[in-house]
This record gives sequence, C-alpha cells and structure tokens, in this order.
Amino acid sequence: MTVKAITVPRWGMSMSEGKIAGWLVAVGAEVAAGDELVEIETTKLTGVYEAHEGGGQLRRILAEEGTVRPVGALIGVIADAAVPDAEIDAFIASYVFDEDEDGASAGPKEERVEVDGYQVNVLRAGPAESEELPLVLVHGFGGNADNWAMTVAAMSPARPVIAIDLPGHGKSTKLVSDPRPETYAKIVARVLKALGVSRCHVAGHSYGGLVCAILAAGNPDLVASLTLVDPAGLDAAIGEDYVGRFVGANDRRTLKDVMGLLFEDTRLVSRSMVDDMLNYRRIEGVQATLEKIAADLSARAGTFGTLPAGVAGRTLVVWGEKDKIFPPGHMERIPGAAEKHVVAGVGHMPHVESPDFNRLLGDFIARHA
Amino acid sequence: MARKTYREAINQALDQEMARDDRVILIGEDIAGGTGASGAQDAWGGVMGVTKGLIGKYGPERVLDTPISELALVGAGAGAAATGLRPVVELMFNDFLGVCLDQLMNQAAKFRYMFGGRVRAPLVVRTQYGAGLRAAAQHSQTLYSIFAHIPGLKVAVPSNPYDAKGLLMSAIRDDDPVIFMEHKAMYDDIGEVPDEAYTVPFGEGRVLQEGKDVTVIAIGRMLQTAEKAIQAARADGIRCSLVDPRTISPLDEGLILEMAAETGRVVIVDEANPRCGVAADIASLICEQAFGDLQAPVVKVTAPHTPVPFAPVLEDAYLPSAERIAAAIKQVRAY
Repeated sequence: MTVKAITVPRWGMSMSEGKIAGWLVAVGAEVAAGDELVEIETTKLTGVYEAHEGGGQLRRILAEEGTVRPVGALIGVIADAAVPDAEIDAFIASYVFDEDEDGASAGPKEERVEVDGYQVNVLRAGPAESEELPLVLVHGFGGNADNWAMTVAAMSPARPVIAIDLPGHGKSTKLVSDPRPETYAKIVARVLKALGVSRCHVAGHSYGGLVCAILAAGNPDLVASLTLVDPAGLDAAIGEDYVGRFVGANDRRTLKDVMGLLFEDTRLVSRSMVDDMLNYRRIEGVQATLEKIAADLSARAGTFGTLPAGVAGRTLVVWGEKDKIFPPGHMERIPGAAEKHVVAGVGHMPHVESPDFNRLLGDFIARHA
Repeated sequence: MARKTYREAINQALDQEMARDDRVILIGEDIAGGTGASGAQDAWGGVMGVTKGLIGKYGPERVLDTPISELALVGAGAGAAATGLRPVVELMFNDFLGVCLDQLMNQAAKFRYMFGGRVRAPLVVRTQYGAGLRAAAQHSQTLYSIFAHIPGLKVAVPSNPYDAKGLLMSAIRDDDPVIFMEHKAMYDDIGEVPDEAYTVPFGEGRVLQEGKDVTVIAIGRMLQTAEKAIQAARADGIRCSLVDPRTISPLDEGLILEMAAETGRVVIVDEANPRCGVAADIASLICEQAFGDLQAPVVKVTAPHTPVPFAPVLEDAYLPSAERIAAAIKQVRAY
C-alpha cells in the first residue's frame, strides 16, 4: 500500500513557487489517475495538477487555498483508504523537502560578477555563513541557472548554493567571442575566485558537465567533489542532432519539438517554457554565441574521457535512463568514477524530471565533505 | 532584466536601433525634447514624452521636429524610406490618419509592388490609439482595422512593455511599412523588459494563460480587461485560455485556430468598433476553418458602432468592460 505525495509541480524553467488557487477535490474523496486535484497559479499561468497513476483517496491537504509554496513542497497526500492515519503522519513527517525553519523560503538572490569583460549572473541561495562547502551548479547548452531551481531549493537549506549563468545564457552577457568549454571553465574559476570560494562541490549538466570536468581537472584543489549529469563531451555523436536542431529552431512549433527531446515526459515542455526559450533566443548576441558553441562541439571528438585519477575518485555520474541526447552507455567512458547512477524513467534532464537526483547529489556530497 | 514602463520600452527600442543603424531617423510633431534640447523644447519629447532625450543623443539631423502637417511628415517618411533611410514617423493620434492616408495607402504600401520589388519602404509609423483618457471623439478612436485592411502594411498592437520593445525593434528592421499602435492609456504600464536588444517577430501570437473551457482572444489594451474577466469567471469555475495575437497583420492564424479548437468556445475582445473590424475578421477565420471544432457560436465583445463619447460615464460605458467579457465567457460556456 503506497502513500503518494502531491507536491508543487514545475511547469516552467523559471517557476520556483506556486500559489494554491483552489483544491478541486475534498479530503476523503477517491481519485483516479488523470483526475484534476488542485489548481496552481504561477506568475505566468494557472494550471491544474492531475492525479498520477494508481490514485487512491485524498487523505490530507497541507496547503490551503491562497498559500504560496515552493516547487517540490508537499501540499497533499494520497493513499488507499486502508492506510492508517499514523502511517500518513509518519510519511508527512519524514518527507524530505527542506526549507527555512520559519517556513519562509528565502528565494535565491541574483548577483553580477564581472569577469574577463563579461557580466556573469549568479543565483545565490542558502546561508551566507556556513561550515559546509558551497555547491556550484553549471547548466547546459542553451540553459540557465533556473534549470537548477529544484536542486537549489533542495540543497540551499544545508549549504550555500551558487548557480551560474554561463556568458551567452540566462542573464549574463550574451555575446561571447570564444565560447568553448575551456573558456567557460576559466570563467567559472574566476567567478568563484571573485566570490571568495576556495573549495566547493561542483555539479554540471550536459555541456556544463564538460565545463565542470575541465574545471576540476585544472583546479583539483578547488573541487571537493564533481557531479556530472548526463555530461557532454564523451562522444562526438550527439543524439537526434540535438544541437543543430536547437540552433536552427526559431519558431514555437519547431522549438517545442526540439525541447521535447530533453525530457521523457514531454508534457513538461509547456507553452510558457517554450515562450521563455524563444524570448531568450531572440536577445541580441544569443544566436551568434550558440552557433559558435555548436560549431566548436561538432569540430571536436569526445574529449574528456581522462579525468585525473584524483578527481575521478571524487566524481559522481548521474544519467537519465531515457536520455535521447547522450545515451547512458556513455558512462562507460568515465573510468574510475566513484559512483555511477542511472535514474529510471527520465530523459536528459534528471535534475528537472526526478527528485531522486537531489537525493543522490545530497548523499554524495555529504560523503565528500 | 529590469522593470520598465511601456513608454521607456519604446524609447529604449528607438534609442538602441538609432545607435545600431544610423539610417534610422525620427520624424514627428514636438518629438524633440529632453536633455540636449534647447530652452522650452527640453520639456517635450513627444506629446507623451516617448522620444524624450533622443535629440540630445542623436542631434536635430536625425530627430526631425516638424510643423503640424501630417501629410508632409508622413509623405517625407515614405520618401525617405524609399530612398535609403529607415524613418520612424510619429503620427500623434491615429485619428489624424485621414490627412495622410494617401501617403500610406497609395504610396508606402504600394512602392514595393508597383516598382517590381526594386524599391522597399522600411517605414515605421508609430501612432496612439484608444479611448479612456477623456480626449473626445477625434482623439480616442481605435483604427488599426483600417490599416490591417490594406495589403502592403504590417500592423503591430503591443499589449505590454516587453512586446512594445521587441515588436518595435522588429518593425524598424523590417523592410516593409509597419504601423505600430500604442494605446495612449498604457504608457505608464510596467513590466519586465530586458536591457539588451531583442526582437519579437511579426505573425507570432502568444498564449498568456491556458484553460480548458473557453478561449479568449484579445487585442492591445483589451488583454488587461480580459484578464480581469477571466479572473472573475474563475470564481464560477470556468477556466479560460487567453491569446494575444500581438500583430494583426500578419495574423498568427495557426495559433488562433489551434486555441479555438482546444476549447471549441471563443470570445474575441476588441476596443475598436465592431463593423469590418479585426474581431470580425478573426471570428470569420475561426468559423471558416475551425467550424467542426466549435461547441458554441463565436462571441465578439467590442465597442458599439458609435463615435467615442466625450461624457465620462458614456465613454466608460463605450469601452468593453470586464463585466461584459465575463458575461460573454459565461454565455459561450453555457451554450
């Protein structure tokens, strides 16, 4: 008999919280998969959260109408009628979603750091003073710091978290003269120096994984642990010609199809997510930078198969089982990695599609303090 | 990203395009003003202050303050466009269209066609429309349908600061004449607008909200009123989608048909008079091409077929209200 969580879903890259607009079923009601449970409002849209497979009875409502809760927060519980109340209480008590003790979620703060002539936007969350090493997050090609919203929310209660917009992306300077992974690794190192970070955990997704691997290889003292999430650079082949199609897509329909390649559950590619991406793509400098990155990627064969042994021993590799861009088989090309995990049922974005990712990351960096 | 007013967004688009391309010039009545202008001029910058500060940056050779002659200034713009510049002409109120229609309809809109493609007219005419400011019948009309009726003119109707900047940048870079419609009651509206240059392409509408019961399509300032109506309808358990076409010529027919088909129930909101207007045009598109998807007759909510009244209570009654839109939403839902 399973107990299922209802959490604030993530309907767009920039969604960090949702307002409970209204529950559509009452506590005690039986719900089946696909039933509409709760309406949730974001700054962009109002959506309806539907029950997943299985269904059961709506046992608890933990966020009343009008309250605002961060993405990932527990707002309700579904279970069979036979599950005793004590078990529901235990489930709620043990539900892992940390936020500040006073219940307020202190959202990430933006900060600009000037490095090599670029304004680099960083999102900072978590305690200003902490015994714990900071966690640094680097997004992939065409992404931005917001891609890590769920990881930032899950990790920042325990430690400082710094999510970087690589130049050419997010809110950083858009036009980059020489956008290669080596350039970006240097930029990230300089940003961290400017922020006074001398040692940290580093996690990179896709192209950002390649950047972080180069960063770690060149700065072994800076990097306490390295987490690579479906990283690029292990093989010259890029599935579905993703990079080329992404760079070529400049209308809503084409872009929606291309972005669908990132996820196993393509319903995550909402209209507002596509609109945000189109808006970003149309800012001056973005297209030129993305085209240069794409050209560089296609010119190099898989290159970072040789993490120095010292770094590999502190490296976690996480891969989405259904990744259509880089198949999990690429993992074999990182010999000596301390841990490797495949997250079942998700695509190229395990950190967006599955809460399991945050658990793997949290456990790993706790072991490598 | 910074928060800017509709006015600042338009000013920044003009500024960035003038900095980027020295063929971009401004022509209009009282448009010189702000820092760098002399004496009393300093206070101007257009009747709504939209062009403030640009003469100081780009000088009187690129910011041309003209006498009160729409025929002359729009004609000069069309000629300048045909001979290599990219003028942005300010027609203070769209109601003055009558005294410069030939320059637009028979000249700028026809150059490319009649000269076999050898002449382009990259002209932008910025103009104010709309009621609500007690400006009476000759300064309050919503006339974009007249422009959209003419082949060879493109028509943008930005409903928020973000689109205002991006659509104006697209308009200035476009090689054909564009009519850029600014609602006079929206200049102080605030929204997120990137500092960087960016474009919003023509012919691409936007979905502001998604809901499964009714599709509301609104134009320009009516998006705001429609949002209030949709909020009210939610209290009755009706969930609406909201669509902003953003440009009415070209029109994003694909998006309109897609969103009409999703719910089968459509309300179109337009501040213009109802006869031969954009709302009627969109309704006919849906009836011709999505008839099989419809669950209810398409309903239009527009101003009545009258001049804009000067009496404040009548002017308020003239404008489509959230109450009227909410009633239309309920009507198509209940059909």
